[in-house]
Amino acid sequence: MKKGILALIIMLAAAVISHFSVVTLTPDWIMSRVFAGYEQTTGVLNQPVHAPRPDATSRKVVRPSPDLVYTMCAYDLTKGPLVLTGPSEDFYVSVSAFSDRTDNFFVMNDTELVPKVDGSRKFFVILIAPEAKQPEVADAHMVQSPTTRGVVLFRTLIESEDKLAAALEIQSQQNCATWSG
Amino acid sequence: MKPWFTYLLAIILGLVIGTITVPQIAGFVVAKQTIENGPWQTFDKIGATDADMYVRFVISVRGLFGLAKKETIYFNAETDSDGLSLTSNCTYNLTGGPMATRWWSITAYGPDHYLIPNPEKSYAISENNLDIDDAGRFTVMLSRQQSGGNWLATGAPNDGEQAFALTLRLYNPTAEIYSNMTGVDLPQIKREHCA
Repeated sequence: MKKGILALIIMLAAAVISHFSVVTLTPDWIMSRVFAGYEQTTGVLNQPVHAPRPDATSRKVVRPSPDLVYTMCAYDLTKGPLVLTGPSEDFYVSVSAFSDRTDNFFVMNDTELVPKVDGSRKFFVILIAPEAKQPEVADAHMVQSPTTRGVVLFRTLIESEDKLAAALEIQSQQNCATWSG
Repeated sequence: MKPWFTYLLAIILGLVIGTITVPQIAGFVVAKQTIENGPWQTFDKIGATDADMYVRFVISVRGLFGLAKKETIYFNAETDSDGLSLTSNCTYNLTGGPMATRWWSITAYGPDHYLIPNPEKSYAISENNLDIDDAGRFTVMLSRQQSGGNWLATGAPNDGEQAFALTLRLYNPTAEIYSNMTGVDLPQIKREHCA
């Protein structure tokens, strides 16, 4: 009898441990797969990947939107801030950042851009590591990442098929790079 | 049976039970946070920094890199407006009107959460690839067989029966939508007939 109760307690404890482990570690595991796939593609972090327009063969990210073209940048801020740049147009363009826990801690779209000194409306965002000091950069939008590693995504809307070329042109100019000052 | 063997079996059984119940328990917990509007469902915490572990789990599996509600609202439908599961051997009429948002689109996904292969490469509808009447209303046929007029593929013509789901994306919605997520006018999905 005692043995049976002890076995039941052990079973319940194992069930609780495995349940919470799977729930809490799955996002980390999926993000680590994203990083691994990214490094296979680029060979290095902090460089943009201009993904082709999603279709039925796309397997990088679940539930992709075929109305958008994506530029992805998996980042590591240990070597310094990351600078994100890109032009805007008269259709939807956004840049967003996700921590390595999958939280979307930052997003900015084209309607939120502040005209630069020269009158242009461009994305110019500097992502800094947790608790890092902000560099003094005129015109840049500073964002503190909650984690050292994460993912940046530019989304560019293909408003209609005749604007596909314009969307791809915008996408091709979206960039991420380690800030060199 | 030796005591150590009993305890080992208990550990293995516990690990298996704890693991295989994750989708059910996560689904149950997340369902309690679901906002429903007809067949459409969403929840507040997509991408949120204060999302709980179950929401994070579901998002990482079914909607990685989804934007926070401030930017985009994602409504998902796995049933028609009568609550019946969406399945590719049936034909549906999706009817809707203007939505108070900068941009919207509706995309069909297979049970693997990826775009559904079809010869016409029909993956999504939006206000710019539909015939919409003067009042801003539209009707779209959802089926495996291509039809004239507004149409969205739910499979290839010779595919077997499979479940599918729809995602309605509202980019930069207005305050009208945020203030009335359960009542705002979203498209209805009516089953017409099944093969």
